[in-house]
Amino acid sequence: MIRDKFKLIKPGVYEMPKEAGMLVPARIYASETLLNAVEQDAIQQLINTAYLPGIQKYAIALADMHSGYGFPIGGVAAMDVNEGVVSPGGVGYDINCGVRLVKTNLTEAEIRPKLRELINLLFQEIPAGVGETGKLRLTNDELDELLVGGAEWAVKQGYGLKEDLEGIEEYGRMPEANPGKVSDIAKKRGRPQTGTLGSGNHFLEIQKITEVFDESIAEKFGLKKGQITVMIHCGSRGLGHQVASDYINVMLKAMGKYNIKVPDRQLNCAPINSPEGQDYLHAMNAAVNYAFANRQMILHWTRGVFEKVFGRSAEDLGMHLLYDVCHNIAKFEEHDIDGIMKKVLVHRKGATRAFPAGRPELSEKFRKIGQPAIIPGSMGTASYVMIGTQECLTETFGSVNHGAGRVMSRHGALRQKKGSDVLRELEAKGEVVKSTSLAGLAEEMPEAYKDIEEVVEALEISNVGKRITKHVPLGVMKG
Amino acid sequence: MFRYLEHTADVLYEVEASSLEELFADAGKALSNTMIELDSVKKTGEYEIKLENESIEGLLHDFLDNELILIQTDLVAFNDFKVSILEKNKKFFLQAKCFGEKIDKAKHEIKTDIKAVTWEYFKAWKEKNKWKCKVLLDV
Repeated sequence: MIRDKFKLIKPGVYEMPKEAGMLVPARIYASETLLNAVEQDAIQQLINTAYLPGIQKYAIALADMHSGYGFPIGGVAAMDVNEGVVSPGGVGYDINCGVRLVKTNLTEAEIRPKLRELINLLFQEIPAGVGETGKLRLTNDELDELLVGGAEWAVKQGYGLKEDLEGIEEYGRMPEANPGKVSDIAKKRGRPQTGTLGSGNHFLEIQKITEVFDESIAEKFGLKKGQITVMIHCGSRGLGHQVASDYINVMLKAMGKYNIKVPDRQLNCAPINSPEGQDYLHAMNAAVNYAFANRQMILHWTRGVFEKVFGRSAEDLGMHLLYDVCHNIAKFEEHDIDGIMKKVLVHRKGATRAFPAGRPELSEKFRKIGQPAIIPGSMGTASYVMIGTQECLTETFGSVNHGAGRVMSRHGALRQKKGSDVLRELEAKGEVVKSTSLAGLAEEMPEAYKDIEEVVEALEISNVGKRITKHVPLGVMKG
Repeated sequence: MFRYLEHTADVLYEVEASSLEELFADAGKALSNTMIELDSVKKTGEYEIKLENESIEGLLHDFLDNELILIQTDLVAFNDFKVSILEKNKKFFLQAKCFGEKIDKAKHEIKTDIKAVTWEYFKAWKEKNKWKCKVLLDV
């Protein structure tokens, strides 16, 4: 078994030494139970990423790893900027899929009687599901402005507050975005979907903090036990999906030109400094900005729904954005490579940046504490706010996992339970759940995912992350 | 005939057909059925896809990509396809009629959105007298 090639080298860290064409060793940050549950395909995908030209230190997979395309989901790979490649598969089809967490000063007692009304109204205000279009009708020029401006553009248009930008990676806008590198088809797919939640595992959740693990940091984040929070999970919709598809086709052709040989064609890539690599990065950044703007608009409408239901202003309800993380992205960052600080391109495919205190990228608010890393669980189970450790920076290029990670196929889930049963079970637990699709609800049932408790515990065992707060769902809107 | 296979996170399917045209049509149906239940869709409209590619595999991938784009940009649900494929000067030319209607949440059984047709496991091949393919959709 391929899994047996990985040996425990320290608590929670398994390593496979270099072999055949691997340029670096491969590492998995997980518990033994989690590792044993990983599909062989996903492990092979991790090994394959170690073949990518310019890869630094090791090919990494985190505790939620599962089978992806080329890269495993839960994968991290950092590339030398001169010798290395950029791979659209290392970012994924849903460019800048991410999560944001919004605080409130509400309690369960205040929100419980209004839950159904809130979820119903959120459904009215935020389009979700297959074939649903957004409220915005953007002209070509406006869409281009959005692709350049990201969440900053959204705030300028009146969606949310300037202070929100302090709580978003890159202040909600990747600078090197070029809408001219985004195809007309990608724009055609993305335009009607602007301001929509999407479907699959995307959701909007009203949660309650049930546990605080580090009082001091939680206080600095403005989080406390019993507090109600709102979590939004979505990405760059059809625009990002099409950017990925378009550039995968470009890279498939370019690999021969640059004489790049990889074990799986889905790992297609091009040198970072090649025209193909640069074009992809500029288009990817535009899609990143689309997703930032999308989540910003959804936050704005969420505030509006709460204002309407409670008859109080969002400010009065304490609805401040805690943080927004990207979990499908490639970014230029400086990291310690064998004792020297070096600029690398970090691919995070289903992995969340979790920079500890001191990193210059963090806004002033978080520079002395470290950024909140938001780890959503599956629908119906807990989510966590964590913080990366200094070891996280040196071990995993400042990354933690992006969620619980699936363990059961969608078909397996459908065979096991009907959507209506899943709904009944969640509602029996006191959750208010609404979805655009009953089948989709069954596919996303809690049992289809790894145990989030075990996943976050694995992060602590390997000393890359620390739990700050635990959030359990009270109301779920699923696309 | 299409059949969904086990995959942890996404939708993997295979098709077995007695002709190349049927392979494309059934692969198209499987994609459509992932988003909206085929049986809930009526054939009231007709859309066309025209493509060319140097390989059958490339042509199939492009066909599915284009079907997905049509669904998402024209907001239409398909339940049947009529495909013709010609080979000329080492190139394959496809002309497909896609039958369906505008997506209507009140009428259709909506399932899940598709992000992309991936290249992972992607394969189209002939085995004995049958055409087969394997497709993984990112959902």
